[in-house]
Amino acid sequence: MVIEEMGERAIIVKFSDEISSSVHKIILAIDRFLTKSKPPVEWIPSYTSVTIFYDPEIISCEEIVGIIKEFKYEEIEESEKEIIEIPVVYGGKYGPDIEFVSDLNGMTVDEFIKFHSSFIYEVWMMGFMPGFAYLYGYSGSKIPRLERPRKSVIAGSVGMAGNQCGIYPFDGPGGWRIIGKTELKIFDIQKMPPSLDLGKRVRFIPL
Amino acid sequence: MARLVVIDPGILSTVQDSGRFGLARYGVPHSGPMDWISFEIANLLVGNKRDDPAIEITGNFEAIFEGETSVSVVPGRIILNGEYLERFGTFHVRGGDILKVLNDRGFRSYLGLKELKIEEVLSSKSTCLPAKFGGLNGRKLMAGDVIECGNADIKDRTLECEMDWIFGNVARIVKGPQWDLLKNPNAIESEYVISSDSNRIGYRLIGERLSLESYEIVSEGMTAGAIQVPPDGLPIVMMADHPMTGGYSKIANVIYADLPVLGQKKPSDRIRFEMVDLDLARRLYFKYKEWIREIEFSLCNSLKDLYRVNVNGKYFDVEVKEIDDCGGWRHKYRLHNNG
Repeated sequence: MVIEEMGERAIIVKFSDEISSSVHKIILAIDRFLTKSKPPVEWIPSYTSVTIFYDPEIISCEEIVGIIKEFKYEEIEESEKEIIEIPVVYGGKYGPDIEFVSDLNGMTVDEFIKFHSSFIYEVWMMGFMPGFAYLYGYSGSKIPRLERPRKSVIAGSVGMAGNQCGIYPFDGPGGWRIIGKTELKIFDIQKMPPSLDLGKRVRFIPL
Repeated sequence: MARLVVIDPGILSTVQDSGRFGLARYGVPHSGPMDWISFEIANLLVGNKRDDPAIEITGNFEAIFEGETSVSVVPGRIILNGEYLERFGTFHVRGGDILKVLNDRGFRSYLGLKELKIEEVLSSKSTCLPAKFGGLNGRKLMAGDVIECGNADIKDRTLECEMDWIFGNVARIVKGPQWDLLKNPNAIESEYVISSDSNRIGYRLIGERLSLESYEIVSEGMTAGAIQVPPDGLPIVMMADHPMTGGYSKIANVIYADLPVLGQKKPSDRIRFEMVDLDLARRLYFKYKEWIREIEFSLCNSLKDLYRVNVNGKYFDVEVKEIDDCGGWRHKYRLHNNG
């Protein structure tokens, strides 16, 4: 564990330089530890680190480090992780890159849909835009991003990049390969907490 | 109830409170003001709390009032019905009054109004432009927009406030998490120009390219003021609406006390970074906060004619009775920007 300061109001607690499921498990555990110990701070869990925001008038960096040092790893059972089913219309006008991604995997589009929806994905990080979850679980060929990001990707679009999968919660620019779309509202400003959060699991249901 | 009808929203005007906190883990930006110091003073001048919503005005602005209330503008200038008013003041406005805001020195001003009637979204009234929610329907103000606010009856008053350093071109930085990856560390203290491709999300800088051992890192949380370096070597400073995670190396961080210096910069302005240590960054943060609290105390108590006096290290609240009308009152506040 390495602790780095990012300005006078944030620290980054880093557990590794490489993304892996074992580091993700540690992140899940420290996220739960912080939720339980309720320090007066805000934090962002990510792939290999947790960034903690604080107000130095309320709590000092040393005090936060003191709390972090008390963290002991406890594994979170798979069964504790809720599975969310996301219905997806694959391909067609809502999935313009599905042929590309299927070809890359040496599959027909139908084979690829079966393949993609066979995995159980897990949220390893959120960011980029409100409600955008980085989903891990796909083990096919690594998917290159678009060379030129699209100016507008519609909300609900399911995209892929590398071995990550994600759902665009809002309309906006995007460089991931789009393979389908869900009608499910991924991020509803009327409903907090959002359905996707660190450690939640996802299964795509082809329509 | 009073109403403000926007005639000219300028380049970009949005409703901002102190920010949207607690949802960063879901990727929700903090948003909030680009210049937190001016924002807080504008609120205090109209009797608001420091973190209440205000209108952040970029460029110039014009609106007409319906009903009576009080207004403040910091750090720009108010032109009320064609008349230039003193800086750092609270002024009474009546129905039909035309208010212009002139950002004659910086780039952004805050229009303080009592009890802005704006719906709270995800526990904040700040406009989140990237995801289009919060503030006024998640967007910037447009001509014809009507914003309701409460009535305020505050005696016209002026704060003698010296914060010229905000318009200077030096912003202090501290080393960031990936500082050691930087191969030409001296370059960061050279002069940079704010690119036209800059906004509330981030400021792109043009100048000496920074050479890093590695530009990409595993994505991690980011804070406002973080200086990211993408592979082209030109730094980007994260501002109020920045994404909460990022995958470029962060070599340095603009200190919180100096974020307003950047917030007041417009494209083609120049900026120079000066490296300081974290200890000074924190001391300045405490000092600026304390300075604003002193202003708050004095403004609250001016309504009651109460003043806090320090005698031999002990504080006393002293009531002051007017014996001669000297036409309102003034307070002097100077904030020096050194530790």
